[in-house]
Amino acid sequence: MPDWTKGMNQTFEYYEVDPVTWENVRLLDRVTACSITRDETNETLGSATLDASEKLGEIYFRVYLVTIQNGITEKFCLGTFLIQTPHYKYNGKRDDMSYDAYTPLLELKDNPVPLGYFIPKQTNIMDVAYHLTYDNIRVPVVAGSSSDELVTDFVAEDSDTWLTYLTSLIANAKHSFSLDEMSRVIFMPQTDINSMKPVWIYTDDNSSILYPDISQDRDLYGVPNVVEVLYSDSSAGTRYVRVVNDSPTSQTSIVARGREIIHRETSPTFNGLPSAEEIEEYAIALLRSLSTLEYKLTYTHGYCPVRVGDCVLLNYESAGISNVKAKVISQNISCQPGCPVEETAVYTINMWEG
Amino acid sequence: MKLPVNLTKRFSKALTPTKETNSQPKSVFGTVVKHGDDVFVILDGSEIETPVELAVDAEDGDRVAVQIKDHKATVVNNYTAPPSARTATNFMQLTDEGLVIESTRYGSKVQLVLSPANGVLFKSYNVSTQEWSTNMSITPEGVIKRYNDRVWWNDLEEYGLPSPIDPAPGYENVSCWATVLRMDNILQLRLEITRNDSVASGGTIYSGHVSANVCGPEQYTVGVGFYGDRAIVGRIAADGSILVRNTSPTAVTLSDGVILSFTYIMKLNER
Repeated sequence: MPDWTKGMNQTFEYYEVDPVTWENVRLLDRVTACSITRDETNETLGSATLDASEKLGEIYFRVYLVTIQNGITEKFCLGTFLIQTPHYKYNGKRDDMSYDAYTPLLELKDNPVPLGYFIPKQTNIMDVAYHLTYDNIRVPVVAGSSSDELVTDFVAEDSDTWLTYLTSLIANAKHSFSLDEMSRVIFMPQTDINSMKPVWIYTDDNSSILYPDISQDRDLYGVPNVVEVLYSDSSAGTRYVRVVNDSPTSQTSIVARGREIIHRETSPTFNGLPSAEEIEEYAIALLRSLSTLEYKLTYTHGYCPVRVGDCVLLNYESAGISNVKAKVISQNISCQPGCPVEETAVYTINMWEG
Repeated sequence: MKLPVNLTKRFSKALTPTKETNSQPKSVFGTVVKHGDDVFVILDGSEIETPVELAVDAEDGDRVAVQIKDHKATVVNNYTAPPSARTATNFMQLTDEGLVIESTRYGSKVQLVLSPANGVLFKSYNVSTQEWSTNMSITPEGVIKRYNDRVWWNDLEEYGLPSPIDPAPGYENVSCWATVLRMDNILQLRLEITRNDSVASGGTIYSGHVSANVCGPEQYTVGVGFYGDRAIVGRIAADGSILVRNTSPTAVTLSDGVILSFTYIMKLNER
C-alpha cells in the first residue's frame, strides 16, 4: 500500500470483465476518460461514465488505479460496471463514444418478482436473501449471516423488482446491499456511526490530501418533537401512544422551537401482540432516533482507500471542524491525474436522550 | 469549462420530479384457495398459492380483490360473495349471554343463543307473560332436548325434562313412553303406555296428549294411567283437580267424584 499522502505516479487501466468468472479478459486501451459515482442513496449504489474511441457492447468493465511510488507498482480496483447506454458522436474527423454504466446490482433490477411470490415466515432472512441474490445475478455474491427470521410471510408487491424486494427483505435483518472494491455483492449490517472506528483521518496539515473547499449543511426540517404511535390490528383493537420532547435543554423540544412537530407512525412492526408498555418503549426509541440533527459535509481529497459506508474522522481546524466522526454516503471519483474524490459524509448530533 | 459534479447533481435533483410516496397500493384479482384453516390466493397471471389475510369473508374458489402493502397480502373485496354484514347484523347481537340471533314474525319472537359457556339455546317469547323460555338446548355436557324424541319415561331426565316418579305399586309390568311434540312456551307431550299383560304379543298402546304452560308460574303434574281398561292421559291442575286431556282407545267421560290415580306422573315447570 503506498503512502497516499506522498507523491506518486498515477495512471488508470480498464479491462473488460467476464461476468461469470469475474476475471479480467481484455485490456481496454482506447479509453480517454472515466468518472465513477458511488452513492448509497442510489438504488444501484453507483454508476460510471466511460469515454472511449472504440465501440463497446453491453460489457462489464473494471477500472484500476495504478500507482508507482518508490519504484513499487500497485493496482487498486475502483469498481466494475455494466455498460448500458452508449452515446456516439462524430465531428467530421473522428468519432467519440461515451457510455453510461451501472453497478452489477442493475441485474437485480432487470426483472420483476413473479406475481404472488412469497417467502414463508420463520425463514432465515439472510440465508434466503443470499440464495435469491445468487440466483438472479451473474456476478459473485458473498453470503451474509444473521439469525433473524421472518415473523410474517413476506409477499412480493406487483411492482417489486428483485432489487426492491430483496432490499426490503434484508432491511428486516438490519442489513443493506453493498459492493466491495471488485463490485462483488455483499450484505452490509447497519451500524451506528458512534460504534464505528474511522478508517481514515482527514487533516488540513502539511501532509493533507484534503482540498481546501469544504461545505457544511444541516437540516432541521422534519425533526419531530412529538411522536404518535398508533397500533391497530383486526384482533387486538387499537392502541395509541404519544411521546413528547419538552426538555428545556433540547434544541428540538417544543419549548425550544416554540411549536409542535409531529411524526406519526401507524404501522409499527412487533413480533406478536405488543403490550402498552412495549408500544410506549417503541415510541420513546423512535423519538430518540428521530431527534438527531444531520450535518452533511462535502469536500474533495486525493484518492485514498475509503469506501462508501466507511467512517472517517475530520480535523479541518481552519474550517472549524475538529474531531468530527462522519459516515461517507457518496463519492465522485474522477479518473484523471491526482484522482480527486469529491466525497459527502454525514454526522448526526442527538438532540434528545429521552 | 466542466461543471463540478456536485453542482450537476444538485441541478439534476432540482429538475427530477419527486416520486409520489403516498400512492395507494393497487388491487389485483385472484382466486381463493383454502387448505383447512390456511387461506391462500392464486393471483391472476400466477400459479403460486400466496398466503393472505382476510378483511372480508371468502371461501374456496371465490373471486377476490387482493391488496399487497408492506409485503403483506390482504383480501379486501369478494366479488363472488360481496359482504352483506349489515343484513346479517339486523338479526344478530353479541351480548353477555352469547351471540343472539333473533327473528320476529307475526308478533312472536324466537331466539337462538350461541354461548361458548352454555352451549346452544333455542328460546321463544311469550307475548302475554312477556317471558322467555328455553325450548331446546345443546349444552357442553351433550344434553339435548328435541322435538319428536320418543324416549323411555325413565330416560326423560337425560333430556332435561323433570324427573319422573316411579310407577305405582302393581304396575311394574307397564311400559311408558313420552314424546315431546311442542316446545315453545307450551310444553306438549304425547304420553304412551303399554300394558304387557293385556295382550300377549307386544301389548296394547294407549296414548294421549298433555300440555302445560311452562312459561307461567303454575306447576303442573302430568301423568298417565288407567281408568278401568282404558288409559288416560291428563294433568292435575294447581287447585288439585284432574283434567283428563285424552284417553285411548276411546274417549271416556268421567263422572263427578271419580278419583283418579295416575300410574306414571311427572311434575312440570318446577323452579
